[in-house]
Amino acid sequence: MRLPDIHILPVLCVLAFIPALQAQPDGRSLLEQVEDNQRAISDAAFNRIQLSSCRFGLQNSQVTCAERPRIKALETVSITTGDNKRDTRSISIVLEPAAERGIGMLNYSYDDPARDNETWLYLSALGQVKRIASGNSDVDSEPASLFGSEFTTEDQDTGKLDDYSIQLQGEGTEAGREVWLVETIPNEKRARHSRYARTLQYVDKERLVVLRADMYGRSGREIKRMMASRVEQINGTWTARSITMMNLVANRLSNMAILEITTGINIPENFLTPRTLTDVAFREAELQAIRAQVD
Amino acid sequence: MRLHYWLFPLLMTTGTAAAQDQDSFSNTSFDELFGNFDAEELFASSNESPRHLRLQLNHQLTVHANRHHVYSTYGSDWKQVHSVEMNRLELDVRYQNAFAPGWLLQGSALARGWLDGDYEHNNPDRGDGALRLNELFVRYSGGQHSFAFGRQIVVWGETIGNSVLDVINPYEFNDLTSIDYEDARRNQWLLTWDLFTDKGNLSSFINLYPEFDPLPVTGGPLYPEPQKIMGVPMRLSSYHRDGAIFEAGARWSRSFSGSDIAVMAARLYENPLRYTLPDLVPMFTLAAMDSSPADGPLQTEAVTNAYKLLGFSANRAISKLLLTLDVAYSMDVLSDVMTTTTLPNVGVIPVPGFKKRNRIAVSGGFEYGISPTQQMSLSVSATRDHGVDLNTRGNVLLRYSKSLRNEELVLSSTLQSQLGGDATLLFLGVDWRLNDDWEAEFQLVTTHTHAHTLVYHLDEDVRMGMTLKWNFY
Repeated sequence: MRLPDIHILPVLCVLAFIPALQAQPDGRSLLEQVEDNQRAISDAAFNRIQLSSCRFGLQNSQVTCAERPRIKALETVSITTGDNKRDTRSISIVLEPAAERGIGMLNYSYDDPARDNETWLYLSALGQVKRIASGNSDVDSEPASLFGSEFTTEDQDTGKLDDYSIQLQGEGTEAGREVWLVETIPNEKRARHSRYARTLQYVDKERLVVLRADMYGRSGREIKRMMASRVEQINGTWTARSITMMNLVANRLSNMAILEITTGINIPENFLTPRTLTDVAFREAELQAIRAQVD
Repeated sequence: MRLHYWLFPLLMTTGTAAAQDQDSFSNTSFDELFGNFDAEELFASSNESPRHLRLQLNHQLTVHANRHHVYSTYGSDWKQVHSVEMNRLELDVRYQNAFAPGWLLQGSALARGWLDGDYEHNNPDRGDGALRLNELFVRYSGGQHSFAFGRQIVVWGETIGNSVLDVINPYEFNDLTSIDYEDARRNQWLLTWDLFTDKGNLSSFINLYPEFDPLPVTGGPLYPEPQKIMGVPMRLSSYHRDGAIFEAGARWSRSFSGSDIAVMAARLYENPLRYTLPDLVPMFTLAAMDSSPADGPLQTEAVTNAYKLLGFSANRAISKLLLTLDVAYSMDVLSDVMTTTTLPNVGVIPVPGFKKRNRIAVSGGFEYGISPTQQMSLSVSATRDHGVDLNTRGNVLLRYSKSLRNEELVLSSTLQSQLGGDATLLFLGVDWRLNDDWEAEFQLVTTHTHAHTLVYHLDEDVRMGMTLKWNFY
């Protein structure tokens, strides 16, 4: 009669800890779930985005633009590829202002820390597609920016979590929501290519969406802050449709408003290649077919 | 409402430190800050009535800021005074319309007027204005194929601005406003075919009407006066098309993780044109007989030369660096040589001529931290002809640009120098985008050249320029 008791004890101990584990998940698994959500919303997706940027200041304790914001209209198309669909390919094309219409940026983001992400730009003045050295950057120089905004390729990366030390720092409240505070610190190798020495993310406990992220430079000073709002459920996945990136060094901010999100559409894989940047006839024909699924 | 934004900096009393009152960040509704969360207004005009036509009106003014007097090794001299060099008005038109699924029509043209003071104003060889068609092509893309016919450019090579493979298009360098190589490209009538596959892309072209670099404008910054032989000026002549000529080429490229490579082969015509002087020997003869060597300018004869090109290009992204390499092997290109001829009563005299040789050329460099906000590149090109005991010649190109204030201001600099240091150019520029419609550009260009070069007159030149641009649709 004693033996069963001995065997039951560990089971009871585990059961006793389950509520605690639910209350205190580890930071790594939280961020994996956040990234899974991001990938789900990026798979076979077509978005219409308003990208607004300006220098900011304060008026009546409210952040406001100190100049006329520069507004760009973008269309983005993305798919997930690779093993377990953990890599992302996305292309963004400028529609407005008219002077920049047709400028495009293609990005391949790999989950594997050993593979650098890849970025191509089409620059009409050069008459050719340019590969951008997208190993990100260090504290002394800016990583590649998304069409001149405060969003960079580094800010949009997913994956490579193995390159970070991830710690759950506690919990709190952000924008009226219960959040987990998750700190990420890049390892030595990643730190050489990152502008951020430390990031504190505020992850919505229920929706697993990052509502805020504070990015710190090597001096320990906060250099950028990301704020997310308009969190909505799209095809069963929670996502933020308005993301603001504040550059606290340059006092500039950019807001990315995802005005339309459509997922589950048919996107040919060859659309996410450098050909789309140069071959306008091909691009417009494919975009027309994609828009027809959306509109 | 626009006034609100311009006045706001004056009304702000909190400044930078207060701007980082971080509690205020959480109080702010950024959705309200950037207006209506509605796609229809922003995207309707783009998708339902796209503006295919874009126009730009610009005025360019360049002045000489340094008064000086320079001498060439060969006894001639050049006085530069404070003066206007360029004063011109230009209308640029660009049209792009994907008029049916898979079809695209694209074109661009310019109308230019030379105003008082411009070196082209009152040019006896042409009026005070010009119209030029740059691009005009129709493209069809279906499946893995893409075909285009019309005036267009083909760019090979990875080393931007200094690639030894970027030789397919003619180039126009009349003055020092086209600092960047890519801005000086001219389109040609081409039929192109591209095949896109998973194992790489094949791009090919055929050109049944090859064009050549336009003649320099006499009186212009690069050719202020005709060259002279024994005091007799030369007149450069255009190429007279007296038979069918063609160019053709193909390039295969493939992308790998972090790298792109390409190999190419082509049959091309050399650019710029070379010239012979059929009247040179008779002129020497007349001179030897103490007769007047010539009544008018020496007539030149343009020489075309077909050659074959084999090339290889590659790039490699390593973290923040993008390394580039281009290799060109050209067969049967013309190389300058001195020959001799025997004149009656004179004897043997040296005469300049050409000889066909093979040429190896390499360009390579790196781009560092390239992004829309900051870019830097350094490249070197070097060329050497087989069988010629001459030093390798080439160029060094250093470029840096930095955009500020959300791309409102772009600072750029270019340093270009021949490998031997015979000619060096430094360009400093500021592009100021006032809004989506208006831009102003300011340029400072200094040049240093050696007294033994053909462009010795550019030594110690300092040019200052301003261009005002108005974009409208």
